[in-house]
Amino acid sequence: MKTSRIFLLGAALASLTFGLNSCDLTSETKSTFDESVVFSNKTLAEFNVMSIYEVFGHTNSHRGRYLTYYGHNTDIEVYLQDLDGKETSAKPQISKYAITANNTELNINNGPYNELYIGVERANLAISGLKKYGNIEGDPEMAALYGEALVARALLYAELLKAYGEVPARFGPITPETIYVNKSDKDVIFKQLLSDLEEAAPLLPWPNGSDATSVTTRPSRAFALGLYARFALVASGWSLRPDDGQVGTGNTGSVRRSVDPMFAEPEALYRTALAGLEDVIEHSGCSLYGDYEALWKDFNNFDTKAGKEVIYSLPMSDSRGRWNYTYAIRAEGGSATFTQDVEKSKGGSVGPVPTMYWRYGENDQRRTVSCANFETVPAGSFDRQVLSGGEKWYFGKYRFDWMTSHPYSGGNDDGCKPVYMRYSDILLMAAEIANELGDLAAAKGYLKQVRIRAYKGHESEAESYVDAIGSKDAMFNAIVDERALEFVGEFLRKGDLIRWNLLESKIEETRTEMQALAERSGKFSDISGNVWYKYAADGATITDVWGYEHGQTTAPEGDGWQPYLDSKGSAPSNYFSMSDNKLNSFYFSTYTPNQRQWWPIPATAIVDAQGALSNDYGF
Amino acid sequence: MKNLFIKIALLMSALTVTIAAGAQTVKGVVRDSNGEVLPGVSVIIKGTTTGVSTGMDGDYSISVPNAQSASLIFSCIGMRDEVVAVQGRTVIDITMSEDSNFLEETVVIGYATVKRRDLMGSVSSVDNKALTAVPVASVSEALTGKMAGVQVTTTEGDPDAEIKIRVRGGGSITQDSSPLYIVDGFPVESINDIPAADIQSIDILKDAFSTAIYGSRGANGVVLVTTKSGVSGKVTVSYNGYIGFKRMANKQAITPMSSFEFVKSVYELAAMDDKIDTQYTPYFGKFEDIDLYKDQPTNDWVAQVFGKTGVMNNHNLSVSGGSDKVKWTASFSHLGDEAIMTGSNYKRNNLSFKARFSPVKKFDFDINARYSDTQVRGSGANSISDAGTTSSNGRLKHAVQYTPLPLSSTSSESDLEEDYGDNVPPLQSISDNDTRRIRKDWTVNGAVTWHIIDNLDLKVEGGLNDWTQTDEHFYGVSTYYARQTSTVPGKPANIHKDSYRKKLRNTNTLNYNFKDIFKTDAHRLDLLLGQEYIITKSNLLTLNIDGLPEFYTAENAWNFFSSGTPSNPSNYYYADDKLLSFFGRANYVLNDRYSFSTTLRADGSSRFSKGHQWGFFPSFAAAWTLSNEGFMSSATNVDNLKLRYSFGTAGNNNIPLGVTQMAFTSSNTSWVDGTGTIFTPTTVNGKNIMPNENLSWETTYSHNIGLDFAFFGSRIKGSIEAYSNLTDDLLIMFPTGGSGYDYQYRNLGAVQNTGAELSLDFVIVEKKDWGITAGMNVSYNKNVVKRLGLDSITAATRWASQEVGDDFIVEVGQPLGNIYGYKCDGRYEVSDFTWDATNSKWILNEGVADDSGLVGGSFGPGSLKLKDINVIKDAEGNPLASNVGKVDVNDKTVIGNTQPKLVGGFNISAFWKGFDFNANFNFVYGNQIYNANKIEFTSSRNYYRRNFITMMDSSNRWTNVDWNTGAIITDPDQLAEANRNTTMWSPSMGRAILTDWAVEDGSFLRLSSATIGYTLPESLVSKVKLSSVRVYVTGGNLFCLTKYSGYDPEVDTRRDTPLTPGVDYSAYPKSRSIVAGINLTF
Repeated sequence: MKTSRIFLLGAALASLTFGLNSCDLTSETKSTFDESVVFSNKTLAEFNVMSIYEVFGHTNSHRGRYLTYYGHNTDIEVYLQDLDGKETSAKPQISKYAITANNTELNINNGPYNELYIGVERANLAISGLKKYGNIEGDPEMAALYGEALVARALLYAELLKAYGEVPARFGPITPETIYVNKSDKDVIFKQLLSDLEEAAPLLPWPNGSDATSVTTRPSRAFALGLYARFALVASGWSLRPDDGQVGTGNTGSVRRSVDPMFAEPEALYRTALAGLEDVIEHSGCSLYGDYEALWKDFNNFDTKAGKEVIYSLPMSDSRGRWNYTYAIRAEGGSATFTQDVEKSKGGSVGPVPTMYWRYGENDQRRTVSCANFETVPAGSFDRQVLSGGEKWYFGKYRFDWMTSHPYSGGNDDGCKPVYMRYSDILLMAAEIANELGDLAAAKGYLKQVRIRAYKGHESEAESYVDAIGSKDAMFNAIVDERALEFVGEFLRKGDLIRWNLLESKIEETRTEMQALAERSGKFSDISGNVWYKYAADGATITDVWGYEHGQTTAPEGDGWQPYLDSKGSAPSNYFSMSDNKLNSFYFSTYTPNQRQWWPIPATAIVDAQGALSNDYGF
Repeated sequence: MKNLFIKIALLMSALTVTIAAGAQTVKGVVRDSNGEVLPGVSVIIKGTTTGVSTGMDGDYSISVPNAQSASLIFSCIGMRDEVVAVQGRTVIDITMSEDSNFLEETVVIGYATVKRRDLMGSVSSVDNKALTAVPVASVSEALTGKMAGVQVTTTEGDPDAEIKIRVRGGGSITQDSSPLYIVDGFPVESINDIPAADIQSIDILKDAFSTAIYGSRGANGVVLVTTKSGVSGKVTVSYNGYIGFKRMANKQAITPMSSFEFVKSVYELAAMDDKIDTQYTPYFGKFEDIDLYKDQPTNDWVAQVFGKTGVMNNHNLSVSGGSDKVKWTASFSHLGDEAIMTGSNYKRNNLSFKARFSPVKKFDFDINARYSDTQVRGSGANSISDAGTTSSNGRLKHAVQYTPLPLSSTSSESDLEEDYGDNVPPLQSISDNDTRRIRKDWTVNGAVTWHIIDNLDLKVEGGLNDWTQTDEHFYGVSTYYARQTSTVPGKPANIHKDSYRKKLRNTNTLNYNFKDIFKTDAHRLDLLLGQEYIITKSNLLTLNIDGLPEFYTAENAWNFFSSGTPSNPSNYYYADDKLLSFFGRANYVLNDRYSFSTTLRADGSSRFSKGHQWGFFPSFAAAWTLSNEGFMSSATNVDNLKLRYSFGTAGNNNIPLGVTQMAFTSSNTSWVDGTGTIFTPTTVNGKNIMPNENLSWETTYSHNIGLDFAFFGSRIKGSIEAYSNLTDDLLIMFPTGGSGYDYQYRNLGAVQNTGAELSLDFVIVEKKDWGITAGMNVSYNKNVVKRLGLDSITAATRWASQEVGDDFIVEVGQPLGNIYGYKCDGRYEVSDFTWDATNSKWILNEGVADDSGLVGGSFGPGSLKLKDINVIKDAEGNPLASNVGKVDVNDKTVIGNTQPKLVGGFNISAFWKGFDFNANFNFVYGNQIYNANKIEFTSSRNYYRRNFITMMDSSNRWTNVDWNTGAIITDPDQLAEANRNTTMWSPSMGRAILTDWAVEDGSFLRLSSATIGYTLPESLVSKVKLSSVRVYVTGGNLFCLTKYSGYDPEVDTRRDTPLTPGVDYSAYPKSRSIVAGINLTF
C-alpha cells in the first residue's frame, strides 16, 4: 500500500507537470434516483410500492408457478392432469404431496421463493425509505403508501408461509450481515406481521376512500383487517412445524399448535381480530352480491371496483397471469371464444372433486356455478358444450365464455385477477372467531348471511339450516362445510384444513365418498349410471342433465334428451365410475399429506444461502 | 509473395528532391545483392530531413553540406538500412542486402514500439501481408490459427457472427474474457468493422508484463491494431477487389428423415401413446394406406433456408503519398455479402484517413480518422439472444423438424408455454424473425509530438469515438413475442433499439532515451512516463411497437412505427465510465546482452466506489541475449538466442456499471394492474443485483518464460514459451437467490491458466525464381478453478427452455467449460422388462435402474437408458429409499469439457516466377462440443409431428410397431427380434435429456484458405501505366477434418453467459467459398 501511495504521489505530480485536466472519478447513473428522492416524492414512492406487486407477474413466480400449483390437492380440489403420472414427475409430485427440493417446476432460480423475496426486499426498502424520507406524520397520502407497503409485505409473507411453512424473517433492507439467514419460527414472523397490520390499518382508507382504494387490486383498511384475522386464525391453528426452537435444523417436526401464549391461548388475539372484522362489516361499505353467479361473471370480466364483495384481488394486469388459462372450464383448441386461433386446449388443469356437486344442497346456487361437468369443443362459429365424463369436473366460476369484456386472447396469460379475499370470507371468519369466543348467536348471524345469499330464492331453507345449529362443535363443523362450498376453486381450503388439522381426515372422507360414487353405493345408490342431456335451441349450451340427481335412475321423459356416449359411441351405464388412479389421485403413497404440508425451500435457494439455510421435515 | 511486396513497395516510395545549394554533390547507384538496380531507395543525410530517392536505374544524386562528417542513410522497405559515412567521397555505390532479419521488425507494445530483438514480454504479431493475403470479411477471422496462444473462434456462420478471441485461456468465470482491443491507441469494443486492407499490423500482448502497461484492462490480453500510415513519395493509388461465391458447407451432416420415414415415426409415436385417432389418422389417413407415402417427395427445408449461393464482393481503394513534411493515406472500402441464408445479407462501407505533418523540426502532428457503416439484414443476424426469444428463431431448428410434406394442421397438445412458435413453417419463421442492424462508428484521433530536446519527446493525444447501433427486430405472428409477450397479442410487433456510445480519450506520454547521457552503446536506457484519461458515455433507447397490422412485413414495420402501439419505451443513460491512469516504463539494456524492464501502472475506475477505485499493477522482465555473448561468436549459424522471463500483474474491472451503489430506476411494466411504471433497485439484464460497495479490481499474476531463437540466417526462427497465470479476487456474478436479489458482484475465487506455446517459421527454399516458406504454431493451455467462494456455480443454456436444466458446472479443482449431464447407457432392451399382460404394460425388472421419471414418453423397452451413478444417503448414511434404483437429478455428472488441449495452425507459402501460393490450416484438439442439435432432432419431447434426422430412421431406431399390421408389439421375443439390427433408442421422450452421447469430440483440422496468385510481368504492366497487377483465386474453408457429427466443430451458440461455451444449437451453418480477386497499383 505504501509503495502505491508513493507511486500515486509521483503520478499526481506527473499529472500536474502535464498540466492536466479532470481527475474526477465519481460517476452517477443519470437514469437513477437515490432513496431520498424516491421516497420523498409521492409519485415516485407510489411507483416503488407498485413494484412490490410486480413480482407476482414475474414469469415463474405467482404468474407461472405459485398460482398454478398452490392449494391442491384437498378434499374439494384436485389436480386433473397426469393421473398416471409417476412420483418422479415434477407436476403431479407437487399436487400429490411428494414434492422434493429438486422439483424441476419449482426449483428454479426465478421460481416463486426467490421472486417473493425480491418483493420482500422491495417492500423493506419502501418501508424504511418512507419512514426516513416520506413525512408519514405530516402527509396522510404518504402514510397510506407506508401502510400499503406494510400490507404488501404481509401479503408476500402470507404467500411464503402458506407454501413453505417457515421462512427466513427479513424485515429490513439487506445488509451484508443479513444476506444469509436461516428460517425463523413462524411465531416470530406472525407477531411482526400482526403488529405491522395493526399499524397499517388506520393509515389506510376504506375501500373507495381514496383513488388507490377504489380498486380491489390495492389494499384498503378492510383488507388489512381481514388479513389480520386470517393471520390470527392461522397462527393459532395447527400445522406441521419443527419441535420448539428447532426451526431450520432439519427437524422432522409434528403437526401441533404454537406454544407461544399469544397463539396458544389466543383469546385476546381473537378479540382484536373480531373487532377488526366487525369494523369491516360496519364501515367498509362492502357487501355480498345478491347473486353468486353475478359475482363470478364480474370476476371473469375483470371487475375490480372496490366496495363490493371482493376485498382484495392480486393485481395482475389485464395481460398477465394464468388463472383462467389454468383453472377455467377446459376449452378445446380452436375455440370460437378465443380471439386467436389457438391450437392447444386451455383450462381445466385442476377441478373440484367429482363428489363436490352432491355436497351442495339442491337449491344452493353455488352448486352449478362451482361444479361444471362439461367442457367446450369448437363447432365452427360457436363452441359446443359436451359432457366431460364422471371423472372430470371443472370450476364453473372460471369460464372463457364469460370473459366478454376481455375475451381470452389465446396467449398463456389471461389477465384475470385472482380473488384473494371476499366479504363472505370476512363473515365466515367472524363466525368462526365468534364461535371460538363462545358467541354462538353472533356466529349464526354471520353464517346466515352467507348461506342466505347462496340459497337465493330459497332463503328460508338456509335460515332453518342455520337456526338448527345447536352447539359450538356443530357450528365449527358447519363452518368447515360452508367454507368448502363457498370457496371451492379459490384455494383457501388447503390452509384451512391444515389449521383445523383436518387435512388427512377430510381427504379420506372424500376418497371414501368418491369410491361410493364410483360404485354407486351408499348415498349414491339411487343415482343412475347413465346420463342424458339436452341442448338449448342453439345446439351449443347444455340446458339440462338427467342422471346426476338422487333418484334419477330411469331414462328421462320428454323431448330432446340424448344419452351420453363415450368415445366408442356407446352409452356407458357407469358414467361415474373411476379408475384406481383417479381414486388415488390425492397423494402418492410415500408420504401422507401431513408429512408434506409444505413445499420445501428449493434446492437452488438452499445452495445460494451458503449453508445458512436448511429445510426441515426430511426434505 | 515477398518479392512482389518488395516490388510494390519500391514503386510506392518515390521522389522528393531537396537540394541544398552550394554544397558537395554525392552520386551513386544502389543495387541489391543480385546486382540488380534498386529504384525508389530513399537516401537521407543523417540528422536532417534532407533526402532524395533513387531513380529507375537505381541512381541518385544528393548535395551534402558537410561532406567530411556527414553520413548517408539508405533505406528501403524490405532491405536492411545502410549507413555510410561520406568522408568526402563524391561517388558512393551501395549494395543493399535483403532484410530477412525479422529482428529489425518493429513490434507495438503499448504507447511505444520496439524492435523485435528488444522485446522482453510475450507478444504475437501478424502483419499486413498475412492479413491481406487471404480475403476475409473481418480482421479477427484472418487471425485464426496465426498466433500461438491466441484462440480465435468464429462462433457461427452468419456474416456478422461474433468472433471470440481468447488469449491464453480465459481468466474470468462469469464475466467476459475478451481481450482489450486498442486501435491506434484507442480502446474499442470490437475490431470486426475494420477492413483488413487498412491494417498495418496486429500485435497481441499475452503476458502480464506486456499487458501491465494497460493495467486494469489487460488481464485477458491486449490486441493492438495499427492502421496503415502514409509513406513519403509520389502519390500511389492501389485497388484491391474480389468477387466470391459461397455455399453452405457440409450440408449432408444433418439430414432430416424422408417423408415416408416421417409418417412412420408419427404413426409409431401416436400408436405408443394410443393416440392414433387424434394424432395420426386426421393427418395421414388409415394405417393400411401408409405405403402411399413411400413415393411422396421430401421437402428439403434446409436447402430452402440455407441453400442460397452467397455472393461476396469487396472493393478497397487507397491513395497515399507525401513528402518529408507530410505523409498521408486515405482509403475507401466496400464489402457486400449476400449470405447463404434466405433473406440475410451484410454490407459495410469504410472510410479512413491518416496523416502525419511535420512542419518544423520540433513538432509532429498526427491525425487519423476512421468511419464505418455496417448493415446486417435477415433473421440469421439474430444471433445474439434478446429478451422474449431464443437465438434459434428463424434458424436451423424449424428447417429440420418441420414436416417434410404438406399437412392440414400441425396442432400440438403440449402445454409448455415456451413451445409456442414451434413447428413454424421454416420460411415463415425467417420472415417472422427478420432483423436489421445498422452500425455507425466514427473515430478521430489527433496527436502532437513535441521533441522538447534531443531524445526527449512529449506526445499529447486526444481522441473521440462515436458509435451508434440501431437494431430492429421484427416479430411476426408466429413468434413467441408476438403471441405471448406483446401488449397486443397475436399481431406483428417490432422491437427497436438504439445504442449510443461516446468515448473521449486523452493520453500524454513523455519519452526519454538516455543515449546522450551515457555516450556509449554499452548502456541503453529508455524511460516512458504517461497519463491517460478515458471517459465513456452511453445510453440505450428501446421501444417496442406492438399490434402492427397483420399483413405487415418487416420492412413495413420498420417504416411505419405509427401503425402500432408503442410499449416499454426506455432511454437509459448509463453512468459515465471513467478511467484515470498513470503509467511508466523503463527499459535498460547492458551490452546488448542483458535487458531489464519494468512497467508500473495505476488505474482509477469509476466503476468501483470510493476507496476501492485505485489499482496498482507493477511488472518486471529480464532477458539475456545469449547470441550476443562472446562465447557464442563462433556459432555463426545462430542469429538470435534470447532467454527471457517476466512477472507481472494486470487487472480487470469487467463489471457492469452501477453495481456498487443502491439506486432506484424506472422501468416499464405491463404485468401490474394500476401502473405502467415501477421504480426498483437497478437491474442488469433483468436480474436484480445486490449492490456491493467493497468491489475492487481483480488481478492476474503472470509468470512467463520464453526462448526466442533464429538460426541459419534466420531461415529457422521461432520462440517457445511457458506461462502460469493466476487470476485472483475474481469478479464473479455471485448467485444470492432467496435474499431478495438474484446476484451480487463479488471479488471471489481464483482461476489458474498454465500453458506452453511454440511458434516456428522456416524458409525452406529461397532462390531468385522460387521459394517456399512455412510457419506453424501450437499452444497448450490448462485451466483450473482454484477458489470459488462456494462449491459450484451451475448454469443453464436453456436451449430447450427449462427441460434440460443446468447443463454447465464450475467447480473448484476443475477447469471451466465442464458440461454437466447424464451418462448414457444405451437403451433398455426387452430383457430389462417383463410384460404384464393383465394391465397391458411393461414392468421394469428388479435391479435395473429406472430413469422413467426423467425420460418419460412411452417408457418401456427401447427407451433411452441412463446410468444410475450416485446413491443419495440420508443423515445416518443409509441409502435414501426414494433414490435407490432410480436415475434422477443426483445422477448428473461432468460429461465433457469444451476447452481444447491444443490449438494452433500452420501455413505454407511458395512462389515461382510470378506465381504465388499460400495455404493456411488451423486446428483445435482435445475439446468437446455439446451437440444440442442432435438431442433436439432425435427426441419427441411429447410432440408427435416433428421430423427427426436419419439417425432415427426406422431401420436404425428401436421400433415398437409391427409394420405389417400396424399393431404395437407386446410379445417380448417378437419385439427383441424386430430390433435385432437397430442401435438407436426410441425417440419417444417426455423431454430433452443431455447425455454424454451428445457430447462429441470437437477436434478438427481445417484448411481455412488456399490461394493461388499471379503477378503480371512488369514489362506488360508498365505499358498500361500500371505499377503492379496481381490476380488470384482463393478457396475458403476447403475442408475440415473432424469426427464431429454436426455441421462444423467450430461453434459456440449460447453466448448469453460465458459459463456455457461450446454449444451447437441451431447455429447458422458455415460456408465454403471461392473468391477471385485482383490487386492493382497505379
